[in-house]
Amino acid sequence: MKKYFFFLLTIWLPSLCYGQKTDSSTSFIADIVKDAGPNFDLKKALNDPNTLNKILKNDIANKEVYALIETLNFEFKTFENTTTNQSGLGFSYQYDKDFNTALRTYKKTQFGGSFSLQANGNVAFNSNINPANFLNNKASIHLFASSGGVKRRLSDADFKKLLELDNILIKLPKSEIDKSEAFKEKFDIMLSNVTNQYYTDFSLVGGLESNQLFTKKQWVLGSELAYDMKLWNTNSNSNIFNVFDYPFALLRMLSGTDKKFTVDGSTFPTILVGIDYVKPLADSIRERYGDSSSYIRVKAEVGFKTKLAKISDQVIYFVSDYRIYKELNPSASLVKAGYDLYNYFVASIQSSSGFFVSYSYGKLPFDAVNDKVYSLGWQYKF
Amino acid sequence: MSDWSNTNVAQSRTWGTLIGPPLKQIDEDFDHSGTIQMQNFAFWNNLESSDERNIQAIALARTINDVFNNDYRATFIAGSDAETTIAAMSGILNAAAKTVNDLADVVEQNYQFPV
Repeated sequence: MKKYFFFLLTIWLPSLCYGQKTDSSTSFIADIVKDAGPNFDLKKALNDPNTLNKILKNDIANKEVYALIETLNFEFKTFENTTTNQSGLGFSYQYDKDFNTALRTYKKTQFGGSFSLQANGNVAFNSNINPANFLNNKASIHLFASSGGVKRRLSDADFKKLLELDNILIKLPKSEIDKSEAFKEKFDIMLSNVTNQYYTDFSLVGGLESNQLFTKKQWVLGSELAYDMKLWNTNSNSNIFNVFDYPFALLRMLSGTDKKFTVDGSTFPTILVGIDYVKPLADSIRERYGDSSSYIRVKAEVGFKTKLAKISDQVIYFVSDYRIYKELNPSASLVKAGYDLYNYFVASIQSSSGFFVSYSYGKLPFDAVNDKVYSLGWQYKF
Repeated sequence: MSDWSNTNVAQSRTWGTLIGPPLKQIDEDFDHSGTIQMQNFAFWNNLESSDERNIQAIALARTINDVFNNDYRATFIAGSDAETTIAAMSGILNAAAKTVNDLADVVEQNYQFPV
């Protein structure tokens, strides 16, 4: 708790020194106290990430000196350790910056290169309750190819019609948009001008992976190949190749969300494969089994998200992710202990209002044991 | 950041692109769309790694750029080009708490749309 107040102090102190509290933030804090009435509990309010994020965004992030906080996508959040049932405050940060360097088009395919910096992680004020105890900081050089999508210019007539339809749709309430004749007409115009989109990215990556206390850390140098395919046109026959969406297309039809069995080609899973040279700097698991040497690992990830149903105003999604990490030529002791192979699968049913049911199984690098976790809850998106 | 209004061309084209086919990233009327966050977009998978999400964000930014250029006949304002604009849009798309209005802000700074 001391660390937490010290952290808040480091954020607020410069704010006080600048003495530029905004009218909106003054009003916001006054509103919190007023809404709580005579039962206002300062300690409870300061333990609520919702309050802290609003203060951060209203009181601090608008100032130039704190522009960095916004760039970092810094947010307070509540962490919960499902094993010990402990919960507490912490924060997450995410920084992604792409610097594009070149772009060439050859036979309708765009080729390009870019340089990227990425940093992300979750930090709990009590590190023992952090279930996502992983910080990832890296730089990468990308070469990519992009083809398909919307590459043809609309005709003059269709362009004029599109603007007319948008002017109608923009005034409609949500409940009437999908059913409107204007939406159907826009659907036809837009889909006549789109083809399947393929995006391939090859990258060279270098970075540091660690837990939040840096008691486990490792340098990683590797290469990744990612493939993202979007079959945008729902009327296209090529949608049948998205076999992953078959059970969900059936559920959408049975629930009345879709009038007929319609496979959504835009939800084709995103696939990433890679090979890394890993140099452990501190890894208690590997040290326990007498193997702290550098090693090579291969890895793969498949992410998938599709619509399950639309019930009233709520959209229900099925979301999943599978990751595998396999060390090449591991020592016999690591193989025997099961630390040469990391499998992790997580799937969730989520509503657009925040309700979710999830199941996860397996472990990621730095995890000591396989976890099988069922969760049911409400996720508030700050 | 500009106030969310259907008289703002960049905001109305951003909404028209995100709601309509082919992208269908949001499912909300214009008036309530400005505050929708990226983590509520159809493409956003909160279970996948940042590497995978980054790929999807860049691919989506490229498609949005194509829709603006080819469907809405947008042109870049002086000093802007496709690559810097796509990088700026993918930066927004990649940030969970950024909103449709934040995205429209980047659109307003980089494109001009015929009306």
